Amino acid sequence: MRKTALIYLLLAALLLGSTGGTMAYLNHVTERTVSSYTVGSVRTEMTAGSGSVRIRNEGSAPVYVRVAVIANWADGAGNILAPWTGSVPCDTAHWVQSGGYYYLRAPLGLGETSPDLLTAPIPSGDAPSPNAQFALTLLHQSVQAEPASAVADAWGWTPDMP
Amino acid sequence: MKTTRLKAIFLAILLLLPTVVAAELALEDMTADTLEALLAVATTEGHTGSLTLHAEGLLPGESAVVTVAAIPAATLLETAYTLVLTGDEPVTLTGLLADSAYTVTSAGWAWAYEAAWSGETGVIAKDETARCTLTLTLADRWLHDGSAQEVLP
Repeated sequence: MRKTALIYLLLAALLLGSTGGTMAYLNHVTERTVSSYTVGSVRTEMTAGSGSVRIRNEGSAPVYVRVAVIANWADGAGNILAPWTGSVPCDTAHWVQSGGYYYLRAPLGLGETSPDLLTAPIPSGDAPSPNAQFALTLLHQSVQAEPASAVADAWGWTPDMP
Repeated sequence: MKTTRLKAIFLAILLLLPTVVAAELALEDMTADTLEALLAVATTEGHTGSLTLHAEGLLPGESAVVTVAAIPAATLLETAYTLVLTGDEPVTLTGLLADSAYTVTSAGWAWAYEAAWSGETGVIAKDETARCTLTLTLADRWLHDGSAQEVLP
């Protein structure tokens, strides 16, 4: 009876020992894999003045950039009186007009500043009435340049468009 | 008797002909712009209304661009406006001819939002203000940024 118990005890000790050894082996051969990724940021700043519109990439990813030039004739209270019908003197070597907006032809890299959109101040032309003031608003947008499908999906525009 | 009447009609035509020709020539000389301006003056005087546009749901610093096409019933000459809606500030178009049919559409600037409209089409009534509201819900998929800036020319 005692003999049988001793055999069982020895067998249990053997089993425990082999299990611990297997665990130690597995711990030794398996490398811990840690997945890490960095979320890029898209941040762009517009510097606009009379005859100059430039965009600077302040984020951590290359971006595509577009600019809207919206102008109307307004009264002193900001009410719109009439649309502006002039044209924008655009640097077509670096920017392309499509669908009413101006797109920078190439992505803007980290820390880069775009070429000037304008080649001259935007001419207001003649006011349609004595109380009409030229109201000019410049807007800019940027979107991540990678993947390439992002800009097409967001704006319906691709760099190879004329 | 019959011959006398025909002579009288013929003489009347001869007398009136230079006047008709002169009037036609004057109309031909008048440019399309002048005609448009005259029509506008004739129909604008005291016969206008307004349209106020408003966007809801834009994040701070973001904007929507909309276009408004207004077609007066009197002239059928369309005027197209492009406007910037930022934050909660409404924008009002004034001096629109009464009885103008208007249509407001998005110009795709607020691509990161789902848009719902109310009052995007209608007719301008005399001395009244029509209202159009664009309700936007953020639904962007890509990282983006942007700003709007009023600039003195």
